[in-house]
Amino acid sequence: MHRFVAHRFVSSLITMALASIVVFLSIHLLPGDPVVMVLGEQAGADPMAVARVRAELGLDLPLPTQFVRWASAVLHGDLGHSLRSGEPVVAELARRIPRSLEIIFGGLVAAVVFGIPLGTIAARDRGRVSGLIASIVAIAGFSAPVFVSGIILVLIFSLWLGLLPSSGYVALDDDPLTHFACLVLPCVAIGINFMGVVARMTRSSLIDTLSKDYVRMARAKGLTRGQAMTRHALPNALVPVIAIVGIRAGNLLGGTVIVEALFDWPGLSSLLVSACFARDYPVMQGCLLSIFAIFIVISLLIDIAQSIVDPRVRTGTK
Amino acid sequence: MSRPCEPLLSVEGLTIKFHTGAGTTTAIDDLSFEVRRGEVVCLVGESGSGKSVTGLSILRLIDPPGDVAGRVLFAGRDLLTESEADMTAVRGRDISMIFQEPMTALNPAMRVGDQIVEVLRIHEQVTPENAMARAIALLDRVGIQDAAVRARAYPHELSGGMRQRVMIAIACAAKPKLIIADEPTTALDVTVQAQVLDLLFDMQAELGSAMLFITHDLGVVAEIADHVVVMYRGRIVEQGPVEQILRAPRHAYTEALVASAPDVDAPRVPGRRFPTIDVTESADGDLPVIRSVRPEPVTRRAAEPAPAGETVPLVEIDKLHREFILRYSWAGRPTDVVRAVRGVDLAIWPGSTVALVGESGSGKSTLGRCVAHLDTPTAGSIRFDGRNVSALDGAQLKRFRRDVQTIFQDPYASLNPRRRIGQSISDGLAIHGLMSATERRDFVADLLRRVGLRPEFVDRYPHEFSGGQRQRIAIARALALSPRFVIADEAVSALDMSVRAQVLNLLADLQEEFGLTFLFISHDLSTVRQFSDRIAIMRRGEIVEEGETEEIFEDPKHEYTRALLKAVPRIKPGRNAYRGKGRKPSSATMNE
Repeated sequence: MHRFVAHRFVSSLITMALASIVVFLSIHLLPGDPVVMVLGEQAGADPMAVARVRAELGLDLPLPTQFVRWASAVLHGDLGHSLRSGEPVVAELARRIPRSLEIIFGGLVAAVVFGIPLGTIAARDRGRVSGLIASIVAIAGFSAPVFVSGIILVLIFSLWLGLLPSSGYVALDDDPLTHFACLVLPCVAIGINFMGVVARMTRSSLIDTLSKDYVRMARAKGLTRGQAMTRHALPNALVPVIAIVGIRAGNLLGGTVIVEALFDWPGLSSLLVSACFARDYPVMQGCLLSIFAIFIVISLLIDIAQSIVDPRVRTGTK
Repeated sequence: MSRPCEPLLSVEGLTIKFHTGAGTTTAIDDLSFEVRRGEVVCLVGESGSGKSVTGLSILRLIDPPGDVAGRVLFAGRDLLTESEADMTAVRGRDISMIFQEPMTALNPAMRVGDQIVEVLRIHEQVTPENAMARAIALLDRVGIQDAAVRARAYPHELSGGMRQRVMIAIACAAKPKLIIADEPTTALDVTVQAQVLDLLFDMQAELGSAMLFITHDLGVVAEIADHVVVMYRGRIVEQGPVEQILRAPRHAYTEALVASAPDVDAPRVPGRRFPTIDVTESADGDLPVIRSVRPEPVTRRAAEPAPAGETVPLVEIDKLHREFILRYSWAGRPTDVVRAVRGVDLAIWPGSTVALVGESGSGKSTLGRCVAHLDTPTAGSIRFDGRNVSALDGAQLKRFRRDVQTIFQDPYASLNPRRRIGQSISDGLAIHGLMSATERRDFVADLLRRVGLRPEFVDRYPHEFSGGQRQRIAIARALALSPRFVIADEAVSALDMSVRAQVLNLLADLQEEFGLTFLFISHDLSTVRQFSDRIAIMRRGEIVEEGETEEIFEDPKHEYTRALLKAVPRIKPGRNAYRGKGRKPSSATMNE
């Protein structure tokens, strides 16, 4: 087990290193000159000024040298300063990342908490009305795009019922209650789609598992139908579900772009979008690097979770 | 032999129907039999006869849309009318069950010790510590060494035989009065089967339980049964004491079943064919007319396998090695190597059948794949028709692919489900540019006729056929290119005895007709004795003994060959090796 975790940890570090190269290169290969951005249209026409700023920013050095300088700075916790505001990128990221993680985590929890029971009902009551309803809810969930389900949620819960704020952000320190009230709709919006996926996966995986001999064996031992389901069928059925959750959790990061815009939530994605429009290279690099890091950490956690549920993952004898 | 008087289980008029959208099918029709205390009753039949469903229905584990009617009296209670809560108390405590597949019947995500503990804690008031101590004692009792360590193992860390021992431990944990064992040894190798049967009946004697043993293997029946119930298409065709069923069967189906059961002690008769079961459907929807058919021996062609020196072998395997590297060290050196084939020499003469016999993991399939050039040997050479196979390329390799065909074990997995069988069969012809499209169609129709299928089946998909039919399709596909050499890798193992006989007869006929050479990979010694000219016994990647079939069977030289032969269940009734012996497991049963 420790060996497996160590192994996965090392390969995560390697992936992270490769990702940083990709982030570094992709930004530098994109069209659009940051120097012009720094100087503004007027001064950008002056070749002398451009060359000066270029040398200041180190952009005239060969790419490998630039990368080494950048990477060692990153390792020291320095991601440079925003070209627009002049503020350190790390400080901005440190404010934004937790906000995005809140939405992702809340969405995941919503998806799993509603999706697994929904899928279980759909599998258990196959061919009955309750199973059919569970299936329909799941399909409706993952058929609706985030912006559609988001708008519907706003309509129902803030405009009609007036229960929750329609958008906005309040810091946790200022007013915890409002903070969480603002968090609910974005999380549900992003989680509803994912819930559908989790429910469908749980359903098909569980149907497959329920026909396995060991589930019949569990009942032949004297367990009730429900005990056989929860003790024997579900743990095994969840193995592929966890894998899907891991893959799709990354997609949730993409979903936050829409949700953060829709609910006016100042997270990582909205920072990335505005940095892209402004060609704010250091901020873009910081955002992308953070997204890669979040992705890699999630998949590491998922692998470890999977190895806990399914002992065969550990030894690779699947 | 008179039966003990008191019935423990009495099944009366059991009828099971499955209601589906397509209509109602009757799986079990008016079944009645009894199991008395301490007795072993065998439920015998081919696949689809309803024997497993019967076993499950006694524990009331048939889920909707299954509809169970009749009476299942156990110790005076009708289990079919008990409440679900009362049934959970019966299951596992009064009646326990052992399933066929040790690979799938244990929960892969639960330690084996916990799986035994579970059954103890359902039915008794025990502390977790006490339950675990008893589970470890049980594991020790069923012959698992280092039981305390093994209790913490997951099923995938144990061999098939050990898993089945764990299953027996679970089934016996609550000291049931009746054990239902559904083909508990079918998936096991023959030597392991002998050990597991030994253990099972040892435990049964110790607990004094009765047993309902479901099997298709009459050899096993002869060794263990007191009373036999023969099923066919959901009905009982005959039941009675084991001696009567095997020596003087009354029903034609039983007779045919007994006749078609392989007999490992019968000497090989060249040209003889296996007896088959002929089924003529009756018009009134009643049971079909069944009779046993004993085909006449075929006079062998003049070309008996030639002794060395006169001709050259068709296939010559020389010091063949195949290693699989499972894991490398950080430095890139292999640290975990499976040596599947270790220095095998074998010659196969044209027109002969050589059988490669061994237990699972002996390397026989790997050797077969290397010979078919579907796998690359690590060292050594294979010569086909004088040419080194690994050096073939271009036109020569294409020619080799035509000349050498493989029939695989699993007829369900070896045909592409999305292609019509006509396409599957004629693909090879198209690849090699043989015949025009219309010629190919006629040829395929003719091939289907040759393997005993109707030519109009050509446009159907594989799922529309039974296992036996699919294996014939696979044979037709292998023969389409008029190969000279056919590798049959457990090609009949998945088939019922009667279908197996038909397929083997077909292969033998085709060998006569086309002068085919066979490499017949099998674990089934009884079949091999009748079917092959020479036998090579494989164990742990090596051929331990090779020779003429009768030589091997009459005078086995190697200790392992003798052990294999001894372990085959014999149909000779009265041997009853296990019944009521109550002996302690010998040291021989411990090592796996």
